[in-house]
Amino acid sequence: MTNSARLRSKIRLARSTLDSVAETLWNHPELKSLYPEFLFRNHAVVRSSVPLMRAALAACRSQFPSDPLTPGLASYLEQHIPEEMHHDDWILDDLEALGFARAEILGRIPPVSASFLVGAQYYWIHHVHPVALLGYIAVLEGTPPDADYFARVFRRASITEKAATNIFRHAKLDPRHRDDLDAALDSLPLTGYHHSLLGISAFQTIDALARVAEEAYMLDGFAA
Amino acid sequence: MRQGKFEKLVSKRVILKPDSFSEADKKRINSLTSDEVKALISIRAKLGSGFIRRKTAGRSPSMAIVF
Repeated sequence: MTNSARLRSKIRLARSTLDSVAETLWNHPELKSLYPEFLFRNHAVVRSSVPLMRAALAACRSQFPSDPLTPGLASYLEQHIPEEMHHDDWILDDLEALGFARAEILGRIPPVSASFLVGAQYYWIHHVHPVALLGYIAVLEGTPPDADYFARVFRRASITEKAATNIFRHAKLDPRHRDDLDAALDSLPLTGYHHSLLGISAFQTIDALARVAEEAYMLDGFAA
Repeated sequence: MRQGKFEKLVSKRVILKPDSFSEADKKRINSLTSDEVKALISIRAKLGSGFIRRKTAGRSPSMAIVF
């Protein structure tokens, strides 16, 4: 079994919680009023994508200069960092299309659940091994949004596509990003230790990401 | 007798419906490392191959919280 297939099979075992939250959110009768809060939460996560990868790249160079994983991992991160830049702005654009000012969005304290999700990765990167971040990315980019599905969801909820550019752009981009990640994983000389770390990172990501999303309909947000 | 990883996750209520798992899934779970099993217990994960489909037909939606 390839490295990527091994990680993907673990994610498949554990992701039912995330799927259940997704099903509830995207079929929620109050989706239109919840959607800005979902976007706010999505922004809280996506704003950290490039900084997390930069932290992992810096850790590769400073803490693991002669590690067998560093050449392949650093190469993947160097390629992927520019590809992910400014995606947080797409979400701000979507929120602006719904009438929310950038200053209002950026002035809100991000959800504590997002800090659990992202903060854990800084721990793994700085104190264990930066390869852990690939478990996180594998979860977030592993199931690209289906454009047809979301077109139906947004039509049903009367949400304009101008407020959903982020999702539709990722529907196009993420299949290739997922394949690039799988290729990078398959090129790395992973040991049992690394596989275990990747699995733990992915499991933790599934759990924390489900909380970030679930709170969009469990807690008061912009409407509070 | 030493408990397998699948049985351990059942006893820790990470797996609530053991009968819903295929033999292939059980094999995959038993191949997890001890650290991975401890992580699943620690985060109080809930493993299950199925969840209740509420309304839509067709493919499961992506969470669409993107990277």
